[in-house]
Amino acid sequence: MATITLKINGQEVQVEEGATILDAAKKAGVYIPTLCYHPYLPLEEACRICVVEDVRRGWSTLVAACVFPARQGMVIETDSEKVQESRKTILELLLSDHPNACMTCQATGDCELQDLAYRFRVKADAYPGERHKHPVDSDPNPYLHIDMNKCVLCRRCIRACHDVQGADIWTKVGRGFEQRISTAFELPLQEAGCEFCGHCADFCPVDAIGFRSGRYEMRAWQLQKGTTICLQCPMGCGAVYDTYKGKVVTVHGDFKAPSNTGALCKVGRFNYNFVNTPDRLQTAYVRDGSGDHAPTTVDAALDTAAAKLAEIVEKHGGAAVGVLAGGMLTNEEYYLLQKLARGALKTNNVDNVAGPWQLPLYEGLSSSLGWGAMTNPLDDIALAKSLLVLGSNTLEKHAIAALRARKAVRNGAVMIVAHPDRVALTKNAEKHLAIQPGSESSLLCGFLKVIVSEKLFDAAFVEKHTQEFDKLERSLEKITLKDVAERTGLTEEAIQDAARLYASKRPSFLIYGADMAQEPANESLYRMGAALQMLLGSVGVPGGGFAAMGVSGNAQGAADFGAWPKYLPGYRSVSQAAARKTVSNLWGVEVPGEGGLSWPQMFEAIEKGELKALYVVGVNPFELGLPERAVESALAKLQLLVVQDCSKTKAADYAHVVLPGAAFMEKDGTAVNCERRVQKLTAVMAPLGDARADFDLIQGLLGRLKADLAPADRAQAFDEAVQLIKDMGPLRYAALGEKGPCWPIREDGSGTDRLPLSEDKPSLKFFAARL
Amino acid sequence: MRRPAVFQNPSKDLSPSEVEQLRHVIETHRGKKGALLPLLTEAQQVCGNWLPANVLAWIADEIDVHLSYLYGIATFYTMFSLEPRGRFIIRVCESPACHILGSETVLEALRSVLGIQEGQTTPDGLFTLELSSCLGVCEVAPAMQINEVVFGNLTREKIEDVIERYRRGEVTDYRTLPGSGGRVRTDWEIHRRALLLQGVGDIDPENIDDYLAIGGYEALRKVVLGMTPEEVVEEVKASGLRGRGGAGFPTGMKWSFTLPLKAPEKYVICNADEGEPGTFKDRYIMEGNPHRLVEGLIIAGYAIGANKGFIYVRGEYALSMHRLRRAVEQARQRGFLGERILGTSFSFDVEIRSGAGAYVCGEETALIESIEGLRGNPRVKPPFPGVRGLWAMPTVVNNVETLANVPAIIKNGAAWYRSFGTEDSPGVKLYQICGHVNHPQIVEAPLGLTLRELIEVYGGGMKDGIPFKMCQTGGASFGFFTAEHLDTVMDYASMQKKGGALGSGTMLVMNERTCVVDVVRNIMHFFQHESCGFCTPCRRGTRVLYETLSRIAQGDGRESDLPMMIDLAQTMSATANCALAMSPIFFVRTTIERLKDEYLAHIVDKTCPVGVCPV
Repeated sequence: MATITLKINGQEVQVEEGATILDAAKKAGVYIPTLCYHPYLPLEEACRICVVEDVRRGWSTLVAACVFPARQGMVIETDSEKVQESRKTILELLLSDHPNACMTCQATGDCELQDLAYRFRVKADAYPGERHKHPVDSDPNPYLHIDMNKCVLCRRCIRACHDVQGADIWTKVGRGFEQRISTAFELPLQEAGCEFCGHCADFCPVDAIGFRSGRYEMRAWQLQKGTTICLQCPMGCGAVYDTYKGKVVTVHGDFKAPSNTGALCKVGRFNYNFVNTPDRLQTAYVRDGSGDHAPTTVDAALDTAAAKLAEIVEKHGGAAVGVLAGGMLTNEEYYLLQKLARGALKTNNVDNVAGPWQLPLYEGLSSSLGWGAMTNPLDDIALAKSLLVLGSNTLEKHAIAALRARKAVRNGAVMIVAHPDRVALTKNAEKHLAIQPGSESSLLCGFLKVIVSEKLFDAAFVEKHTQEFDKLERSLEKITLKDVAERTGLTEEAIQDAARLYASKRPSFLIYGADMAQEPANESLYRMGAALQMLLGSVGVPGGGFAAMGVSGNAQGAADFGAWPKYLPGYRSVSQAAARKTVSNLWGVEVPGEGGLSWPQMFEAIEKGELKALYVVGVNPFELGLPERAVESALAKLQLLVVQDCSKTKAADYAHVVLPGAAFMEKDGTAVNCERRVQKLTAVMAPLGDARADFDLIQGLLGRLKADLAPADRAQAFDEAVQLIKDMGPLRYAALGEKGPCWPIREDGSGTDRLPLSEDKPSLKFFAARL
Repeated sequence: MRRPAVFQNPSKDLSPSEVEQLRHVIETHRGKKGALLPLLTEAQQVCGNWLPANVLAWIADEIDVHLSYLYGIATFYTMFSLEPRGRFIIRVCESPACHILGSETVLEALRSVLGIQEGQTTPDGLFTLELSSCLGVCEVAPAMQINEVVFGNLTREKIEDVIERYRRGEVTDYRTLPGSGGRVRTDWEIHRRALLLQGVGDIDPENIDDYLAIGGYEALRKVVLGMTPEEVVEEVKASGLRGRGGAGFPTGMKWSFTLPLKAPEKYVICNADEGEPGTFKDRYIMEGNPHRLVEGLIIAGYAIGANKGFIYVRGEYALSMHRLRRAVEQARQRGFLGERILGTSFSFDVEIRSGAGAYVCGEETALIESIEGLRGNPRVKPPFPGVRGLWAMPTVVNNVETLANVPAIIKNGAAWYRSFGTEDSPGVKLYQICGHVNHPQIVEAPLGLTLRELIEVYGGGMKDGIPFKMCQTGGASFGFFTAEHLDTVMDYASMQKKGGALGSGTMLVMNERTCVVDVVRNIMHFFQHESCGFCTPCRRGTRVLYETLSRIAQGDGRESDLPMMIDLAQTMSATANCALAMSPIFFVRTTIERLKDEYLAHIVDKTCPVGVCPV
């Protein structure tokens, strides 16, 4: 690319060809006001506030800096009288059809129009005339407040709805003075198909589309802003939290975050009631002699819990104790929790809610591909030319993957969505396959059958990078499309058509999001998914990969850091003596060799009377999908139930000790998202009252039970853990920056975005297909 | 069919036959690039002149377009309606020419004859009364259109008579009419040598043999059999032909930018969206001799290396579209269009596209957006269409009259063409004179006529002998002349020097009984109505100017309004995205400078000197 030199306000600046005047000005540190422009949206050039003077020999013209290309030798003036006057006029024109009621406007203090009006000292009433009288707040939705009288028609909302979310709810209606932003036929948002991602409100420069929360309660300048990682699903989105007096008011996407680049889903955006609820635990409780919960200090409660745990281990052995963690803990917390279980409580009965879903994902993919996680970063999905989406209702459970898939479709990719229901993503799909619930595995088998028997695969890729193709081929001979059709509920033709379509364009991306509402898949599903991608030469290449995503926010971290029964940190098998030895050596304490229980097995064991103590961290056992009666009966049977959570759950009623924990946005630490990205969390506010981050509580227990096992702080815990995790070895807690790297981590601390393919020998492996 | 529960816009219970027809319409256009506007136009016809919400929802589902998007399009183009309308849509022209000749009286008569107001439909479901921007029949102003048929020179009696006939079911078939407006004066000496109007009014426009008999398609033969594209471009360049749409950009130069570009596809588009108020010249060519345009378009395609052409005709010009479609069909049958034209390796085809009521679509990039099936918002330039136009391919957009010149230039050579007109503006021009003259008219003449000649010789002098007061030059977008400018030579440079413009070649002549405030207000109403709303300066600026003029007309003006209007119009011109907002400065400034006393009379004396405004 050629370099261009131009002059802005007499200052020479060099930019790459293709840069706009605005880009050049930013580089030169020259301010140009903008309104419709947003760096994360496509250009619109609607407001014209960014006009600057393009001075030629003897004459000059005004051009819009946000779109006009910088050219060699250009002479630009950004503050000439002509420019100043034009900006003023344009702002005054905008204000002439605006309520100018800044006194009572929610956006005051956080309004781009107000800032510009202030900066350029414009008059609000320069042009008298008719103003719009749109109904205010007439949309009944619970999240967004609409007042189109404030709209400046920058159309960021339309662009956000189209380019970020892909929902296309907002549109330009009418023209001239009558032009406005509306849904189709002025439908209420809900009816118009709004997905309530909130992007339109996030991008609105004024308060035409705003958030309901906090309205008329606090002003913009009263809000505290903090950036961390949302742990409500495995996307690991960067999120900016506006908080006020210990409550979350609004949430915005973090544009600098690599996985979501400013996008958020409905859950990440609006689901924060669990933090704001009056049921937040602010102190510890211990059940007294009469059976009632008495408030006490955290230290006293920890003393009680530690003593009772020790007593039960002493009496019944480690097998009588279980530890269960939720899905939104940090890596350090998971690490410490499994260390507590294995090192202090002498048991492998430690699990996290996502464990049963993560296990087949790990085992299936690691045996096929060499690593047991997603092959590419999420961004890569947008580069795909064909997409197959299976599993969860992606838009709800794994939203960023869905948004990237939509982006790929906008760029011309074909998408097939296989889901029993017509989920929202199907409206962007070329084909919707209404498969029987739980028949994803069979469908993949059918795709393999069609692609192999019709030789639609990439023979060169298979030859170069894979082993044991014959095993797959042989296994497919025994499988008929008729069987696949029967299991999936589709016709044979539909399966053939879909498979051919999927194979017709490359690179292709397979998206499978696990869903807690469904039984965990077996590893064969993941192996067949990997096989499908291998056949199409779409593994570890830009736009080609397998997005295998777990069920909880830090499911990947929980697995990496060993908070499950079968594997120690770094996927070291509990059943292997050598693996245990490595860990034992590091900890200086014997790691138990008996297999541990997964959490569903723990509940069975409680029922049988084998498990007598349960330590529950950050999860409500009543929300695990088990029958309520069964949970009630199990919890009532326990000799010791320690419940540690940020709010008072039903399980706390059964607890002997209740410890006040914190929500993820109140924590410091790290987490790993589904793209294997190790990211840093920074507390955006402090835990309430006496509540403490789970790390501190677990550390407290560990310190009481086996003091020499407890690391001093999070950094020490992390740095200790990565000694056991080969793929993270070179990482150091203190060195983790804003943009976390994806494991495997290289010696220099940099990450690996995509599964590397060996040039020398085949590194991928086929397994037999199973219907 | 999906039927959302809470549409605020009405839906319609479709009859089985309507469902069948709609299905057919959808199938015809399914999967075709940019077919959205034709699809909606045809769907609207099936549904009885309106687009029910449920039908739009159905279309959105079928062709996989977001409903919000369809709604955006349907509300952009004025010819689409989301409310039920009558069998006959009466569009009363409210453009300046009709305005000064009594469109208000026409409206008054229609209101009383029909018993309804604008925007309403008669209880019998027969008539819907609407206002329209210029219908392009200014030579017969005041005018109205009932569905496709134009009725001009309206009087109360004529209106009553027409409505009565329509009530009786005597509906005029527009296809049987010789033309929509006036006739070309074939008896004039100057028209014996006409090249653009040659044959117009004489030949049967629906018979290709008539065109062949006057030398039609000879230029095409010459081009494809004996010239390289470069030679064609050079010839047109040498002729000095400048774009006749209004801006006057040299045509050959425009072609020469696109010719060398390598692209998978190139397009040539004929801009037949003749929406500039006061302009009606292109209609004469399309209705009177459509083959000349088709021939010019094919040659343009050959010259720039395009294989596909579009003629984008404004939606109101039904007869033009009908005749162009016939012409294209016949040309295809005779091998002038289609694969391997005249046995050569050159292939070219033409598609006729209809506008749907949006002046801004005359702006070339808005027109391209419209062909692509989008709202007609002008694009951000650069890049210009010659480099990146229709579907991102290099595209040349030329006006009808421009292309109609091409066959004659090719046939007779550039030097011959240059022998007409002036040094600055060679060739011939279709002048139009309308407003307060005895014979509003179209005239073809070598460039260089004076305004006085046009009025006196061709317009038959001032109507009823009432003295001349002012003239808006070039269309609604340009400056006003007063009596001192009558001897200006009407070529590009001379007109501009005097604060006017040749523009589309139309001159709206107004007599002493016309109020400048009233006329400028009328023009400004047009601009604020037609502003696409894309950029702030135009969307807000046109509206503020209109509201200010309305205040002045009502006697609520301030002296400071005058400099404010000039400053605002100046800023609009400097900052807006397209030429639409660059127009007001011309007529705002010239009228305020040249007819300031009349403005001041409204503002200071609170009186309208000619008694037109409701001060």
